Amino acid sequence: MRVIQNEKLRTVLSYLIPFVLIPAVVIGGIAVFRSRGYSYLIFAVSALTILLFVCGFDRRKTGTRRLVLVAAFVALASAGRAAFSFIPGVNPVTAVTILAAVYLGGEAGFMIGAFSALVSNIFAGQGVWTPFQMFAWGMIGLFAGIFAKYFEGRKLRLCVYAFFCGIFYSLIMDVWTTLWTYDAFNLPFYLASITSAVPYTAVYAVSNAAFVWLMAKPFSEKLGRIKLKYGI
Amino acid sequence: MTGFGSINPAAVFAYFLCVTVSGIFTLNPIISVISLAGALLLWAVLPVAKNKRTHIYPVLLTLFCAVGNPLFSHNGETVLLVINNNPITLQSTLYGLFIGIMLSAAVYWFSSFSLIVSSDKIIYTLGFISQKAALVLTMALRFVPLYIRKARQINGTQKALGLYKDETIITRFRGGVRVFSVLMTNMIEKTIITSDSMAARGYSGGKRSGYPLFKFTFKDAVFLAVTVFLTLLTAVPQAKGALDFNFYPHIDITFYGVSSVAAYTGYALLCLCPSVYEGSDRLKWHYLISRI
Repeated sequence: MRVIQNEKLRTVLSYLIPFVLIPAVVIGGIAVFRSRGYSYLIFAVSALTILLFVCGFDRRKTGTRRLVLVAAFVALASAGRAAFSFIPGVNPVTAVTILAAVYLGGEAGFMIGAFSALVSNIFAGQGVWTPFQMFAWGMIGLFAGIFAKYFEGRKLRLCVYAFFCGIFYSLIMDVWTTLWTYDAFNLPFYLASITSAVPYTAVYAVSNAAFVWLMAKPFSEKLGRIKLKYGI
Repeated sequence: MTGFGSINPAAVFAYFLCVTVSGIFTLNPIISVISLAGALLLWAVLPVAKNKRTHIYPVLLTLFCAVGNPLFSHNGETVLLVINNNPITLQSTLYGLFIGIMLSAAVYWFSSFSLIVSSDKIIYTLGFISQKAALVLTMALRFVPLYIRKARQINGTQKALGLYKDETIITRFRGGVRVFSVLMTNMIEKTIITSDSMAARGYSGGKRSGYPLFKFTFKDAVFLAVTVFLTLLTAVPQAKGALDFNFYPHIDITFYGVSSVAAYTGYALLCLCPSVYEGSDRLKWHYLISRI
């Protein structure tokens, strides 16, 4: 869907957004929301990082096959989140993001992670947490893609990474909760929210590792074959 | 859609961004209450089927914050009672209560947002930033129901073959992963076919033409201008400190004359905008019917 038809205007906008708009939003926002500067900052930075990645993704030349594969993995992760909702705290989004990122690269990993959060929240409910969730899952995918050469074909390393991503995801989400409620890092509250989330975090981390353990082989076989056969 | 839903999605997006950001990132209880009132009004006025259970979460959230905050934060000078040598203060309880109100307002705003902004509108707005991302989102949204249906078929086949066990949660999990793996094989093959047929039809070769689903009319421009104006009316005094509010050590609100009044009225009008829009449309409809 092409909203802005003018080619020149599009180019100007795609440079204007990262270099002018982003600093302006961050600095202007902090000046306005002085009493809640931290929570604003963390919200703005996560939302704008996603914007930056989307702009970069648009400018680069991506093959059609790669583009459709990214869409398919986003859908797979979102459908999986719905399908596994019978076990609380279990969802395959992290595992799919990591495994796909290892074979498709960091940028595709970021897009898969971030868009899975957006799409599955259309079904599960959008909220203030959406940009932050997109950011967290996107980063998990980005790092899996950057360090792909240490992960490819290494099942145990992948499982350990997935396990720590599960813990990291929960810890980061609680930092967000704490900053959002207090706008300062209130340690007792943070510890209390971590403690209350321990069963959830444990299930999540272990299930991530289990997903990766069971899916690493099918993923490497199928994606490896596709890469070899079609040269993606 | 009629009323507020008929406004161009880009303007609606800008509106929700302005109203939630200025409501969420201020600690001023008056702003929080205005925000909650506006959000509730819009939620009530929207002519869509609504889930009554939406109310449970905000109420629990407010209670949790009001009860929970004094247990973690012992600031404030008015001590209500002492538990285990830790004072429970009035200021801290009120702080929790208003944080709860602020969060509840956000819940209602986002609930209305989900009712108004359907996935096609999200795609349209994303198209402003990136066509490719909008395309990925469109395809992903189409694939989700397709994959869920396919997964159900695979699940049935596995059951018929006697491979699928749902005795314990572990076997269900393993069965789920197997279905997932089969689904992936199926999906990757179809993905290649889809992308090849896209390329065959000329995708990514040469200049693209486009068709925006929604038109940006004068009415939308007016709505956008009003939103921006009211947001600035709130934000400019706010940057100068006209909405500053202290809970600790004692509750302290300062009025800065005109600038405070401007900020509060600006925000209240901003919150009322969509409800007025929706309400006036409803009234017009009502009078047209009675005349016929």
